[in-house]
Amino acid sequence: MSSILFIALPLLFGFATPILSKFGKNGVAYTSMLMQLFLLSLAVSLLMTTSSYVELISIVPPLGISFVLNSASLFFVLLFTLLMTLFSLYYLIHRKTDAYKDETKFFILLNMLLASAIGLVLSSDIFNIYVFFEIAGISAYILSAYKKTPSALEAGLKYLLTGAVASVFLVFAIALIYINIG
Amino acid sequence: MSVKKISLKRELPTTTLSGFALSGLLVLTILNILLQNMPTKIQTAGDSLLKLNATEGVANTVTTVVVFFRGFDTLGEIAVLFIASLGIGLMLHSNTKCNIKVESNFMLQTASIILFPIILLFGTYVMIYGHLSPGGGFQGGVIIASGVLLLLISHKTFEVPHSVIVALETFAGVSYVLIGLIGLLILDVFLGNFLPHDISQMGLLLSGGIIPFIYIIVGIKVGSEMSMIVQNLIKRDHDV
Amino acid sequence: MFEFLNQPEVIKIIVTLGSMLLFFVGLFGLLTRKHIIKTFISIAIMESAVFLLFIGLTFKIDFVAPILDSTHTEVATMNDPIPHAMILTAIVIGMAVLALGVSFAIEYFKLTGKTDIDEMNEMRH
Repeated sequence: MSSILFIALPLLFGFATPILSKFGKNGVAYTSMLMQLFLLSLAVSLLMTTSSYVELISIVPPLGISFVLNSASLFFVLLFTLLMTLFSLYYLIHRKTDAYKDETKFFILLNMLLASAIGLVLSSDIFNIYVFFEIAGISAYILSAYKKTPSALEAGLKYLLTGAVASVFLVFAIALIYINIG
Repeated sequence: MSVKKISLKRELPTTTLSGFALSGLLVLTILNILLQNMPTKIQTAGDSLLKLNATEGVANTVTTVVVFFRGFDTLGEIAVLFIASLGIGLMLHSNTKCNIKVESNFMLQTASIILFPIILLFGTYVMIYGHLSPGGGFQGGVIIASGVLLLLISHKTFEVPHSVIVALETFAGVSYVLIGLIGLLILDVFLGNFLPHDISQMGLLLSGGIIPFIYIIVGIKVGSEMSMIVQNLIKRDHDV
Repeated sequence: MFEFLNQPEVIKIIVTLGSMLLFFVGLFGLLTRKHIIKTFISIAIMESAVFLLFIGLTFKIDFVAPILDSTHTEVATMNDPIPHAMILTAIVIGMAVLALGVSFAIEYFKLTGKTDIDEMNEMRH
């Protein structure tokens, strides 16, 4: 069991949602809950072994992308999966009385946020960190403007303006690092 | 008797001047930093990746870097496009049937019907030959979406059906992650190259293992998502 | 007569000055304009300036494009392919964020009719 599954499984769930929504009204919600419970148990089982190992993507780390899973990042992975599982549980309990309108999109956004937050913590390549930062940012912009009331839209608009300027300066910094060091 | 308010500020645009000063200060600082250490030829990471390109057997090295050496960044970028089109569909979706208010000229209508298959063919060519000449999935997908835009603004009741776009998008996205997971099973590396890639086949259409397939999948996904974004931005209730 | 312009140092100085001027124009527009769509356009101008700077400063003179075919087969005189890959990704991400921002502004205008960022204070009451 490698550590890529923490990132690949929520992404697969997000892309395959129109297939899963054909299993009835409750298909998407319960599949998301099962997947998050599986990830939580994977993280807890990784807590038992005490070695730190490195997962590669294509080639050796100075030239390619690698994911590092030592005890510091395992703490964050455990924290994120635990919080997301509790949040999904809370939503499933209150679903009969207070459901959102477009539920499938809500679950897609939640899982994308989880995948990108875990990817931020695990990755060790600076451009990869920028890409995951953008995924987390853009799903948070939409989640903050989900109900289409005027105050929610204004909050999402101001958050997006600040985040877009920040990402311009981030790309500038990465460009300067690459030009001077390589 | 009404009281007239007299403004006590001088006739000086303060916000404009302060914006001028602040931005000028920032730019001068950055310019100073850049002009002081201008590096001459250093050995960057790209030169070593160019030498490693020979093991993959693909003619276009930029394609190898985008798809294979940095495949995770491409996956993340596809996720960003997916979430953005989801958000725009959430905000602006409406079921009207009318694109534009004014009927356009007959010349525009006839010419756009003739041009649309040519644009589609050109976009597919750029997409499929992405690993042999400059181009690739992103460029080809945007060309296809611009063809759809041309038809949308010249005809009054044209629309791409919603189920077709959702089916294409789902197929492309799921197969990208599944190819990566199959690479994890076979070669123990996520997005590993598990089809044969000899260097003797450089320049042919089927060279380079899984790289042309991934780029075609990326092109299908980008084309369908940009079409959905453009269609949502044009078809709105016209009381705004 | 203009042979001194062909050296790498002079070209790098010209590229830096030009893209910094564009960045300055975008930053000035972002700080002083009040309409929400004008701020989005200024952010797009700033992004273009950053991409120009990135490509312009990693370009080696008299080297060819990094594509192998029957006439160019050696690797030692080719340009760097990594900035191209990074800029492709960054262009798409920047465009996606701006498209989302424009759709938020359209929906907000449809609901309340305000486009001035000084008057958007729904969260205060």
